[in-house]
Amino acid sequence: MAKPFSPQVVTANRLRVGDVVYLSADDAWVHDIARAIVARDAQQLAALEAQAERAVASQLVVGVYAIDVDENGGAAKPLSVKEHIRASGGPTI
Amino acid sequence: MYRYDEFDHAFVTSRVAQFRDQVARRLAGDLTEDQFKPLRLQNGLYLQLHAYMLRIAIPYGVLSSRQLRQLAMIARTWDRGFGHFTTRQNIQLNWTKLEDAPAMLAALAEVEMHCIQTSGNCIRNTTADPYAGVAPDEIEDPRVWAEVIRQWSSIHPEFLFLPRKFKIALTGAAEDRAAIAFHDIGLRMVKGRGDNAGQIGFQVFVGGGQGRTPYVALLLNDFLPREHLLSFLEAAMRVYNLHGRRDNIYKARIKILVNALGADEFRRQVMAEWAKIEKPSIDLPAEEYQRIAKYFAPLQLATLPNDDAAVAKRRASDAGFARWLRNNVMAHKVAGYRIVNISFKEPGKVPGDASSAQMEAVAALAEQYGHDEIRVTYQQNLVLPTVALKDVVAVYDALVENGLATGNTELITDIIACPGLDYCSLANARAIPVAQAIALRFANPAVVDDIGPLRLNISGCINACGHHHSGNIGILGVDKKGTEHYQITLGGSPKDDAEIGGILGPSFPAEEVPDAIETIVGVYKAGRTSASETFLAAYRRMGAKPFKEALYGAPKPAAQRIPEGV
Repeated sequence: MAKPFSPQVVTANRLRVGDVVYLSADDAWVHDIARAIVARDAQQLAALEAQAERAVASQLVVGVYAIDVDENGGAAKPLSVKEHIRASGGPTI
Repeated sequence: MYRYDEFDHAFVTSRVAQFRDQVARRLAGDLTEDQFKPLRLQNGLYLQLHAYMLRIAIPYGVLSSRQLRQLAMIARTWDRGFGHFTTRQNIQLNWTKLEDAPAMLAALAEVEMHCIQTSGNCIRNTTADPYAGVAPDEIEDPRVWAEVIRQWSSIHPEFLFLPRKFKIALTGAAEDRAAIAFHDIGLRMVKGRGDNAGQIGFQVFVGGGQGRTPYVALLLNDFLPREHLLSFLEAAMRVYNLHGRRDNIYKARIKILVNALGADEFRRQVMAEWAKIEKPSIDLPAEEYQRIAKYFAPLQLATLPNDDAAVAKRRASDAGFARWLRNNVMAHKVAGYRIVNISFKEPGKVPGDASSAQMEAVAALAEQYGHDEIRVTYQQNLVLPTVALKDVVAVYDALVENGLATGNTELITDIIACPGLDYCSLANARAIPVAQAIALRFANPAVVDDIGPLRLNISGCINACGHHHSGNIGILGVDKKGTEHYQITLGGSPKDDAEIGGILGPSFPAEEVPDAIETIVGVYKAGRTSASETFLAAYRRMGAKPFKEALYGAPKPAAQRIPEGV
């Protein structure tokens, strides 16, 4: 049986500055993961990744990848500790 | 210290111009990230968890006041006003913007600094004893040879694309303060014996390292006449370059090759290669050695008394000063002078982090009292190598004002910690908050003094940038089913008695680590034969058993054990 699809968002770093961003509506890249578009199936994720690759090609972002998120309670939150730290905008110290 | 010649200036300046052009082409879309990434890494610019990180080389950990001030200025102007001293005696800026990087490199070049060979599979910054040139137990100043190695290894055409990165460390002293046994090549200056009596040469060690496969280096050459250092290094590097594995990044370091071949076979191959080398074409001519050595000529120091009434008076009246004097101020080879260690390990602070204001304060102290010399240690602290004893009180008072007067050199709160998952994209777990929690647990300096010498090192992943394998107590962050856990090792040592710590048992969640360390320290204190028996000595005598029992409970009798696989 195929593994159920986990909700995902697409993240990257802005090329010029290096800060962490998430793909949001209207081709925007935002700092707040809660504003990211959540892919709920493989087709949606592929569309987001294609959109992200266009942003890579136009020198907006670098290092694109998708991360698993938890949508319980509304806004998307990263599942892994690493992505939670990335999404928080800085070190935890 | 060494000053750039025309070639050095021209080379570094041209590299800045090249990188400025490369960044412009990247931002304009003329270079893809795949094309650009190796170029930025060759200039020390990494993309980390939150931002770009710039790793700046500090050759053999030696800085002038002017250079440290410039680092402070760069951190304040283009970063977030602080830097992080690393276990490679370098400094990293964690919040660099790509668009600012060329200006930062240009500012570094103004003070004869750069980021070249701080990344990539090349010979990295050579590290050295931070007390070089001033230690009483020194045979010869290793900085001269460190500079020789720097010049030889910089853009060496044969060794820029090695199987993996390559790290060399050297010491000229009896006591190893450079952890040479944990480097790809470790060099120790020694006096010759027998046929070599009267000469100074190198003991050469090879194949040491930490990471996922830790090894203590093996002896490659018991006495290498110093004038043949470069040809011998060239031979060793050629054997590694030819036979080191390129098919598996985890097996590509020289330690894997040396241990696969065995020390004898590796030595045979190096000696055979060395025999083929036309040595005069590579070895440094005596006059060139003399030219470089002049840059490191001993300071002309006026003779001063070896005791000072003001220091004695302050020591008697100020326990904090007395502690700092005892733990951080070391003997100097010239009477009336001292080596001053500046701790960047105040409990609760980030180990190795220095604000721009602190960097400027140390630069000012070095100028006023320290003959314009600063050293970076691999323990992520700074050193003023030459301070007159009569000035020690003034230096201490200035350090207090800047939060740099913690008297904990090589004590339990002098924790080495890598950036960990707070900054590093390779990490599995955070190292800094655990270091902070442990240091705060042992914040009482009287308790720390009572524990005595104890190296505690933390890494946030198996790459071991925090040197956990060589800690008397080592802590390794691991990912255990999505949560950060910490594995504890005991018995490691980075010194002459180098050893890799042994894993004590199952890992702990972060919040339990300070308790675990306190338990371990409690077992040591209860079991030591006297206050002068160090943690490491006691551990070696007592073995792991009492520490394991204290942490995990006594092992169950055989009949009660659950058979494996059930």
